[in-house]
Amino acid sequence: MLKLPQLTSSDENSAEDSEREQEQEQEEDLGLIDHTVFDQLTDMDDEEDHEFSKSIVWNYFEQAETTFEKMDAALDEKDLAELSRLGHFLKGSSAALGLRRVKATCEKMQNIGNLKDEEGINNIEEDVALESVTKLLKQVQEEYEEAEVYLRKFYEEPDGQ
Amino acid sequence: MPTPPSTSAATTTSPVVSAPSSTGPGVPDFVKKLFRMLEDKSYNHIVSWGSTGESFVVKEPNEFAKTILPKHFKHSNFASFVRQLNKYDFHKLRNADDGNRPYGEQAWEFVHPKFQCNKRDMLEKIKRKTPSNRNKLASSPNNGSGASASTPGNGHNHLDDSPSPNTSTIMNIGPTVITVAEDLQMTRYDLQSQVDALQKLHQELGAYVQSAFKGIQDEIYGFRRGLEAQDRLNYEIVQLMCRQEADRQHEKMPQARFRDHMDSGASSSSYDTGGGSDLYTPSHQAQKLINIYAEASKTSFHQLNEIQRRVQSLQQIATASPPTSWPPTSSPSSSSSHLHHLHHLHHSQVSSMQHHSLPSASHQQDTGISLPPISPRSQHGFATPLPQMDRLDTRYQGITELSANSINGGASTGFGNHTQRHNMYSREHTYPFNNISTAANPVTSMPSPPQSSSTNAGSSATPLYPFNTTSPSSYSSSTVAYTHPSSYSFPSAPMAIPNLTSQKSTPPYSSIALESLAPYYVQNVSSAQHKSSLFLDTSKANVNMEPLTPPPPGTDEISRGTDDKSIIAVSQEQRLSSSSPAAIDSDTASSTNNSTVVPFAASSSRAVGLRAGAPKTSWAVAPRVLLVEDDAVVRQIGSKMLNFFGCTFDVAVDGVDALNKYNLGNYDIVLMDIVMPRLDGVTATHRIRQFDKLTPIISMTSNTTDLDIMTYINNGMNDILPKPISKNSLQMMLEKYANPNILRRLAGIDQGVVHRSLGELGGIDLGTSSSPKITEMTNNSLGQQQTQRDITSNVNPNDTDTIVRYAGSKRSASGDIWLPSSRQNVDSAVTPISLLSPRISSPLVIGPPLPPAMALQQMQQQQAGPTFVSMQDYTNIMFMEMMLRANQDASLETQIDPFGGTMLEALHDGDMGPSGSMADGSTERGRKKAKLELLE
Repeated sequence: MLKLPQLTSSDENSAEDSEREQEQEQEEDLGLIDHTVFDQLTDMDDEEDHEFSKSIVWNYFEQAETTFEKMDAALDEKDLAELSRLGHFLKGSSAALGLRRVKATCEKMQNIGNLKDEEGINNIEEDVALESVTKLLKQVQEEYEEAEVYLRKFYEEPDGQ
Repeated sequence: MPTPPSTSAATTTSPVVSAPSSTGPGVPDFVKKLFRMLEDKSYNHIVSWGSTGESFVVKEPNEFAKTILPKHFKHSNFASFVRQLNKYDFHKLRNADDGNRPYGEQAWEFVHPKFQCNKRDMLEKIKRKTPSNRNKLASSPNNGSGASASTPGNGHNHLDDSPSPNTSTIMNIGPTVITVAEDLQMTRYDLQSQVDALQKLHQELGAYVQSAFKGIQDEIYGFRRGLEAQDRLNYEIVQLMCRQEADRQHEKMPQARFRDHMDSGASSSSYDTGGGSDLYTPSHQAQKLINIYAEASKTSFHQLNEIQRRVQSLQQIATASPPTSWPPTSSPSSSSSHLHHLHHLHHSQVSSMQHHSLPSASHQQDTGISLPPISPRSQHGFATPLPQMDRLDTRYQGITELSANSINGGASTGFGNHTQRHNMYSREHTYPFNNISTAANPVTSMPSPPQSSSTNAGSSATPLYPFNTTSPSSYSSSTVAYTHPSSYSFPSAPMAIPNLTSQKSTPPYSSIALESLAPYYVQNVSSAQHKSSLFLDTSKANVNMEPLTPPPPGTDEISRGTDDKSIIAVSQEQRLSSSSPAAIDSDTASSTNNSTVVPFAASSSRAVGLRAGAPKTSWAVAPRVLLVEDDAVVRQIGSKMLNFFGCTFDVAVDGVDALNKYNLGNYDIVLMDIVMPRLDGVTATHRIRQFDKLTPIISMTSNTTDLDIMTYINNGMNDILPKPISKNSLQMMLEKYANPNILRRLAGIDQGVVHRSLGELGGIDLGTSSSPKITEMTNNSLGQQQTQRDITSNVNPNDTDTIVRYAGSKRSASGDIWLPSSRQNVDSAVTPISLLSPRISSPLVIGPPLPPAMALQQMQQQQAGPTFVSMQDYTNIMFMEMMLRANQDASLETQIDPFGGTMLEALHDGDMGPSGSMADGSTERGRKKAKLELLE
């Protein structure tokens, strides 16, 4: 059975807290995967295989790629609102899988798409937003690919499957 | 044998002997007895004079102790005899030198210079020894003359006189050894007796403690009984009050208001609690009563706490004799922990009450709705109960502070609490009033006016349920009932669509029904609160998140019994859910049934709950969840988790879908994503809140700024479930909100049934008296809706298609069970249930404005895109359908029997109510009716 190393569970922390923690950690650590979240997913798998979580992850791949296409299109049209929406959308599923970096970057895109800074606090100009969102889109795609490689490896690995 | 003259011997040799004394009285008793004993020749084989006559020999010490000592010395202790001899300066002769033992191996030979055979006159020279130091002082001078040079140094005076020099050495040691041994023995005896005494004392103590313990136990029992009685009384009072209020409100209930409400619901997107909300507010009188009650309950709870503390301490003391049985509320297994928990619970409850805010209350305040004036009638109604309350008050003033806190605190804090992190809730909030009134008491609701019959008072949910009302027996086990697997059928009934009309038109009734429901519970209070705050329910819903006990897996349904009354606090922290074995549960349930004091119930549930390992849930009846999420991945994960927790659930892919689904089934909780295409979660919630103010709607979002949260709360959401969802956070939410809502829903079910049946019983023709009105109103509102919003409404048969398609082709068969549009299939449908469900038709009429079903369907297909229903969802839905079908079978039996034609009739009439919008359905329904009658 392949198992990811079990990190501390987030029993006591609300998901929100852990989310915040993740974000903070991420600044320093940039951990690709939040194993607390991801393990929870794989924990729900059957004993024998990872069919459930795998199907979800595969769905996510599909969804993410579709979203990236949309993001690219939206960027071409300088549609910041759409970019924000897409960022939010991808953020949700990324977070659900524990893909920290992707999620964080998506959140930034969401904020910037709303003409805010990355933290969603201060207003920014549209051109600035476009500039940084372009950068972020590239970044998030890289991060996504990294995660994808990791995940594909995880699911293709051993276990005799 | 030459023997020296006694006088000379006495004076010269014995320093011990102070002075000669007269023969008779001067001779010590012991010596006399000893001499007499030796004169008796019958003992010669046991004790006799030595061969020389200068000593005596105990040949058989055992026999001697057994037979002779008792005779002459009143005891049988040979050691004691020896000791006495020693005291009179006798000495034991040992013939160790040559091993020659003329008197046998066991013989003890004693010698005293003045104690000789036939020398009775010498006896008076024998005196008790004086302290030993004097002996020694006196002995040293004598030593020189002694033949025994071998004496180690502390020669004994009597050695000089010893007639047998060969034994002298031994005699030196003998006395010492004997003395030591005897002392040891004496010490041992003393110790033994002390030990015995201690043991006895201990036993007595134990007995005392046990009796005391028992007394306390009895006290607790008695107290509880008293509380139960009080609570029942309270319950009745509140009931009466509610009835009065209901009557009043019923009279007052202006049709106009209803219509207004409807209109606003249909047309305005702004959150307008306007007309309807004040219906939920209790009169001042009611509030007062509730407060009193709460105070009383609090006091009693404190008392109980105190008693239990005492018991606990006693228990600790008397570990040797632990109590065999604990108060019924506690399960044998966890009795001690139970107490502890109880205490803990109490604190947490209080704190939670204070911390927790009632969204509904805030809403009310925001809308600035004032409490309706109390009608004279209602006041009159209160008059009688009040004195009783006062009495109660004096005694149990406390209980209510607790509830009062909840009420007041809830009202005052407003949704501020809600903004609190939910995790906070989980830790801090225990809701004493988790006990949402569950069972509807038909009798109490009886008084409700005819109109009520037409309407399903059922607040939000209120599917029919054969509860106490239907079958007393089932209720008797009421709480227990939940524990039964059969109770599982609950969910199915609730599936019926809420009768919006009824809700809007007769909110007061719903609350009343709730109150009247749980006759046994404290719920009265909580239900009363219902009135005051619509959402209170949900707030109460926040069940004790306290560390509870988890039920073993698969026992989901178990602890519901206690849950009803006191929704079992679930320990999130422990990740355990509390469920209790059915058996225990039932016991406690029955006992706690009556326990009005919430803490009790909670405690009982607690106690009942077993700490099982696995991740388990506290609900007896699986919560029905509507998961609204546009993200397929998140939806899948959420579904999986809900599956994991044994929930029954629907998924919706966006707000519009959610609204559609919402009309199809009653949910115990809605998990609502915020950002969704077509219709966002906030707006969807807002719309839902226009016809259902009670069902908890939880915002699932990663946007958790204060502003966001304010928005959520302001639009009627109850709490936040931050993304990414974790199992724990989800479970916490479910336990906090769904559990209470299940109870409410179940209660509501009853209520609807009751009203209808009552109406019938009262000789009121529902169809003519109330239905027409409603029909009229609904027509009105419908017209507006249609004109203003171009809504075909749910009535459109196509809705079914949409849903069916969404759920999969198989849906249609079962769909008629709970899909509103399934009406078309009614004839073929196996679903008397759908007919039974009073609100099948009403939600359709009053439901939130929705786009045409066909359009919806298309939109779903087009927009949902890849996020459309996944296989997972299909599976889930199908599974759910299966469950529903099974449940229906079960619930049908129970439902139909008790109410018989009455209920069916009533339901049928209710169905007919909104006939304006479904004229074509009436004929079909007529047929259905006939069919149902056949069923009976």
